[in-house]
Amino acid sequence: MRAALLALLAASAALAQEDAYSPPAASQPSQLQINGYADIGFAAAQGDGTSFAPGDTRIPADYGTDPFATAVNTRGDVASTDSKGRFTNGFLPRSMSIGGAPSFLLNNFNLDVKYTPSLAPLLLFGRLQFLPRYGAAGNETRVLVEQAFARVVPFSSQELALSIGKFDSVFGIEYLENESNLRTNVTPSLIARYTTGQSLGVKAFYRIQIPKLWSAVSLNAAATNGGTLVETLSPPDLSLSGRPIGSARLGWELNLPAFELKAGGSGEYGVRNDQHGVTVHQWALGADLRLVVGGLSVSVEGVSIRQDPGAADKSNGLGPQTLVSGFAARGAYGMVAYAVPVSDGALRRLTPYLRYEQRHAQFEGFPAYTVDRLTFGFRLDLWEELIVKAEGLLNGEKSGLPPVDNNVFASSLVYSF
Amino acid sequence: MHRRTCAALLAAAACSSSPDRPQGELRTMFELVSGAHAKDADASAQVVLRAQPIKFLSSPFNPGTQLQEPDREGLVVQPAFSDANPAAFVTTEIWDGYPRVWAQPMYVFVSGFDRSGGPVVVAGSLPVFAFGTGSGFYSPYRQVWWVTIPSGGHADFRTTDQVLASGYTLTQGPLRYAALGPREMEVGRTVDSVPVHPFTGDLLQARLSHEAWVEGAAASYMDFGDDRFRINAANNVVQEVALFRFAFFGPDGTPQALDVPPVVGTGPLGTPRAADAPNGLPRFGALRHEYLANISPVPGQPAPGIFVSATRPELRADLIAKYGAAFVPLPSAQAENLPEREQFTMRVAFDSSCFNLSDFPQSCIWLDTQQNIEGNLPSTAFTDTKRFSSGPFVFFDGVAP
Repeated sequence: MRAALLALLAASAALAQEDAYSPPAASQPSQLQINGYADIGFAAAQGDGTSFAPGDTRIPADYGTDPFATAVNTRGDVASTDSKGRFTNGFLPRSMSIGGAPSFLLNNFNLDVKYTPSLAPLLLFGRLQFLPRYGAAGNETRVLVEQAFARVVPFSSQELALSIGKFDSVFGIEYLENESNLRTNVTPSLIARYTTGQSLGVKAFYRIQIPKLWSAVSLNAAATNGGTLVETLSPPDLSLSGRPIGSARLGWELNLPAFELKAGGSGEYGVRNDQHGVTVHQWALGADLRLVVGGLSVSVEGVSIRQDPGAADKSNGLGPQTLVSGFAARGAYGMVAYAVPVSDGALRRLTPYLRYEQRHAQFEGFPAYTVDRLTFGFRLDLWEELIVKAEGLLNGEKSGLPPVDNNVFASSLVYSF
Repeated sequence: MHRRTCAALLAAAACSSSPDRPQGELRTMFELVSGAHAKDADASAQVVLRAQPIKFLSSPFNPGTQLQEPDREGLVVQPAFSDANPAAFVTTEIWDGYPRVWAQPMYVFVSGFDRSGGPVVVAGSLPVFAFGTGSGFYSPYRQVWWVTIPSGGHADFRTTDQVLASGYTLTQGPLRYAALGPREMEVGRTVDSVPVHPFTGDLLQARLSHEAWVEGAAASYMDFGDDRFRINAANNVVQEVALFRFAFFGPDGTPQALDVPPVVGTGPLGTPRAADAPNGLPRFGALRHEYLANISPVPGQPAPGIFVSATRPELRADLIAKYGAAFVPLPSAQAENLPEREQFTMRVAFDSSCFNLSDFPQSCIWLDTQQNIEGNLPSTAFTDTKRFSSGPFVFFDGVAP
């Protein structure tokens, strides 16, 4: 009974992430489930916790550096975005505001509510996140409706799911690990800001199995307000331009008994949703690959994005900004993890991992720059409810920007319920 | 920001709607020159192409035709009034629909500082601009940083990240007006002469291009010197002043700018200040937030008029043809005989009947200061054009900075 319950909870946590096939629930009783997790962290960053180089007085401060580099948790929140008065123009993540001081953090208290009616092939899902924060203005705690969608599986014979509401990205693979109870490591990659954002709109997932080839081909497509960028860069809850952004991933998977290979190509096109002009477009292309052999998993993902310049009406999740600058970036990461089974007792698995990534970016008129990062750490699964993770982030400035001390230690204890 | 200012000054329903302009457009000297070639009106008002007539030095403003020298484009010296004084400025950039403008860094290499604290610039070194005109955040307003090159070190830096990565000592220097642009550019003038004020004839400083590095690329800039503007130190936002362009209602009922000298204020709209000009060198006026000031005659009210001496018949005829005789009354003989008469050329008076009073010019309420304009015109007279223009004074109160 307990094992069945745990399996149910785990499936529930993953449900919001993956568009896995669910058979119609007509013959099942209605179910209301409440699950969740808490992510408690401890982090420390070098310097002042930002990536702003001392002595650099260029404006905007966030155009000539990578302010996302000092991530300290799975949401991508950084140690600090304090530019010390220098003007910034909205190319920033959320901040935990710890600066260079080590601190315990309550990164996320996440509550999932799922309802499956007995007589309809429906899934109703909501994800509420409590984000305790303390910043320059004192208590800056937010409550975020990260997901709220209805999903219907209209045909019992087809692996087709249609969703409406606010849901996860369809671009690439990293969004599958948006939640800290699912992610192998602690922090998102340098390109996660372009591919992992939730948004509001409609989505369709279709998969066809090819049993003779042990394969399946899937298409996941969405039309949403904000596309796949994270909410600070592209607000998901409202269409500022009045035009939806289209995004899709075409995937192929090979599922052999001891070998799993998944590959995909993603694309996104539409009007930038950080401004109002209908002729100011953005596009992104990506490719991804996942390989799982026994305890070994390898993930590789790359993305290239371009955004047109616009007028002086920029607005995003951080509030009103100024100019809509043209922007281009490309980047990729590769990650290797090996899960070592330890015991059936408290210490279930130990998963050391290593990730290397590079990101190249340029704002219109600013010099291009390239940064890289090496992430190394481990994940320890205790029973099925507890996860302990710790990692180091070695951020490097390869070209086009001054060096800055911005390495990070991030750790996290996640318990699920 | 200017909307708030407008609201504060004018209370309810005071600011007129603005003309349609593209939001967030920046035109640098490069675009102004190319725009002048394309006969764009805004650009042609700021730039005179080589060997072409210089507007205010030629008919109808002055007799005959004076041509810009044939080897360079020129920035048009635009006559104006400011703080009740004749003035003139040039325009190197225009921003439409920008909320504000920021100062950006400029690195100058020095071997040290002399006994008086003055920087000793490394001979042969070129300054490095943080970034160029390709960015919407480009600005001619520069915060100079002195980069001290240690003995044995080199000053061959071409990019900001090279400078910052060097670890050399950075010392905050003055604020400098340095506008990137084409190499063959200068303050407008005729061949073999220096620039002059079109009405007073005062000689102005010639400005030629200098070389620099802009993020690794060679570039040219015009240096108008230090302390030509002020910034808010906390955020590097350049302090603006209001510029008033007089206007009449057009046929469509909207105010249309008159082709007469504007008035440069001493502070933002609604916040006039004492002119900030230590030793006569103005530190204001280089960033101008442009407003239309509607002076259309109203029956039963004093009729504004512009002073133009009878000794300028072409100019009088031109203005009368465009704006009517009532706007260009003939000055009295006493006014014509004033030795400082040309100081008032094209200056607008609130009530033009003063041109014929015996105590001219004291008899006039001149609309030549921000206080007089804002104090004598109704709040509904002002229209925010949502335009910033930049360029320092080249003449103010008898001084050519």
